[in-house]
Amino acid sequence: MGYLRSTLKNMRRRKLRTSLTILGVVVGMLTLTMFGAFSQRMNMLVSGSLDSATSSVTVVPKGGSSMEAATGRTNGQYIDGATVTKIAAVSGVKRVTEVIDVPLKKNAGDKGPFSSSTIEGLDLEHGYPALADAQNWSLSSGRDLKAGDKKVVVIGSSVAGDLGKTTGERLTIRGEKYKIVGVLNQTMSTPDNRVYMSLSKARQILADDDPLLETTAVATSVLAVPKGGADIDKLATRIDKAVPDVQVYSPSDMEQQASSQMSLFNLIVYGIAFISLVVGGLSVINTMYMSVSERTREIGIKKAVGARTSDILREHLVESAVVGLAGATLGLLGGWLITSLVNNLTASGGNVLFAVTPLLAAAVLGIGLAIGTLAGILPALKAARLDPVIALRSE
Amino acid sequence: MILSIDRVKKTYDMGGENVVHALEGVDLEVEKGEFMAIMGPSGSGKSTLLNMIGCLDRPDAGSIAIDGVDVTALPARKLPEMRGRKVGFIFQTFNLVPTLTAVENVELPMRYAGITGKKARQRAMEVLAEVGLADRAKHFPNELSGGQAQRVAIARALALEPAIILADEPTGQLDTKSSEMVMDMLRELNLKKGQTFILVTHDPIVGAAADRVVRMRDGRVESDEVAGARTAVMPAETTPESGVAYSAGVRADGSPGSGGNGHLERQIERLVERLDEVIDNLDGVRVG
Repeated sequence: MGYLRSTLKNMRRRKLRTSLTILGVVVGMLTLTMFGAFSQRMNMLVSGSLDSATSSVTVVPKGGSSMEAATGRTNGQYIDGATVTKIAAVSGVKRVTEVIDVPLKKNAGDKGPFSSSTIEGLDLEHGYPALADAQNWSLSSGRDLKAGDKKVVVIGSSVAGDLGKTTGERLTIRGEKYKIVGVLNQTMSTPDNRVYMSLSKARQILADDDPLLETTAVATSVLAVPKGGADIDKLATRIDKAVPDVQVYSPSDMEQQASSQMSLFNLIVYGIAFISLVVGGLSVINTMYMSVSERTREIGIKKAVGARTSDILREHLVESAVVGLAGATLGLLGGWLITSLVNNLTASGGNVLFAVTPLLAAAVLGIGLAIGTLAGILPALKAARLDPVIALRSE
Repeated sequence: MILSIDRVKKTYDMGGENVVHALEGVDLEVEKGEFMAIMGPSGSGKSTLLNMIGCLDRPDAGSIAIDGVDVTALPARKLPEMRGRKVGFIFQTFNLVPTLTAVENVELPMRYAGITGKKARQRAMEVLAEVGLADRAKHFPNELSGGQAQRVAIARALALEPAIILADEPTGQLDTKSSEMVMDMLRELNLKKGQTFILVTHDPIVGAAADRVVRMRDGRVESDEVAGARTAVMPAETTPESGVAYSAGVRADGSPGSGGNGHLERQIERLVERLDEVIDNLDGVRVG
């Protein structure tokens, strides 16, 4: 520990040298933080949206993708009542839950998987708990929806924030007033952007939005809850065979699609991060070598008064490790500040793009420390192996 | 015998045909309490020899024993332990770490010897007080004068109470006044504490202050003279009287000698200077 204190003291007394060394690391770590936060957010959204499908089979109209189904976008296709009945009739299906997803703002358009807020109609009469369990329903205020609710809503945390509303206030949708009975805690995924209401009300809104719709007995997607013990994947196959004009996704399908879409994305992110790390590492190596050059005489002095090779090695390694950690800390802070700022700016569109998670923070700090130490090895070895007589003569 | 050098040789291969025979067989024996100067022209090997004794370099042949330890027989990794502990070093260019304060510089050898915290701080302040710089403890080297910096270096060399303190041109960077002060200090440490000193120097003043002068030329010892009447061995007890007698160059049995001339001469010189000053001042004063 004495080493740490004297290292910090040394660094403080060589402010310019120290700052320059740390700067190189900061840039790399800041980049890593921002890209990592983006990646974390994406992963969260995807896994969050998968939650709703982990225990049931998702059925969407033909032409939709599982991502769309999971994140509540519709391409104007619906599943009609007859189809729902067919799905329910497939052996192994315990019950079906119909879901209606309608954009909160009429004609909001296509804004992507993390797009603007969506109204989700839940089948309160037939027990929507299949959804409730899967989704992270935890309320920050108020109560959950229950059977018999008509013109009431439960809203997600982002919606509450954007509209500046909370439990007890009224929300106007398509000209009608709804009472907010509950606000959800932040989940960092799709529920944050949802306004939950009864299925029948949602159907009304859907019908109003889409004048071409002949009947409101439709759903934008259907969840088929399996009977206990049923093989979900096999069930998905059966439904697919039995029911025309639909696409069926079992939980593993959803996961696969999501992860394959994410993996390319993650690859790019990590590629960029890796490059910035290499740059940061090279910067440390360079400045640490310069530092050793500048302090050659000093190293000679220390050896002349009894420092062993291991003492010098340790001193320099500790210093470069601290540089790495300090750079990572500053980079993390900077990245967190920037991403928070951007989040605030884009939040109004319902887009939260960055999530600086504890895991990311730990990773950034750990990587910074590792880079500092690794990059410092070669310069430290050079310092440790200096011949004292030659070193003393330098400068 | 605190130092024994036996047939030490050192050759540097500078590449191609450029081979430097730095030391061509040096024998030397030093007793505890000696104040010895090694003098000689550039290239005589005196600095090389000093580096060998200081365990900063190793001879190609021969042996060196310091305070009973054959340092030439030690494996290379054990050498750093000898530096600072068995031998202390004072350099011409002071060689203080610029980012450490005076007291931190003095603590440096202790840190590497495993002494830390309060103990190290205490001992460091102790030796700083001995060299009269306790009030400058928290200053950085660039805030000290040359003489002060060298005194800090002396304190650093003393820190672990080494058997021998080596000094390579200790007055090289100092003006006359500071040189005298530093030499006085070294002499005092030698007399009062029996600290063994080996100084490498060009400066005849330094040479004159030494008990024994070894002259080197071309990698060999050319001459080895005991200056004046100073005996090489300290008496068991140093009383103020015997200390002064040493300075004055008086033998242990009381008979007069010519040793310590330089030191005594300088003291007289200074007294004369002071008298001159007083007389100058009196010139402007009216009496009566």
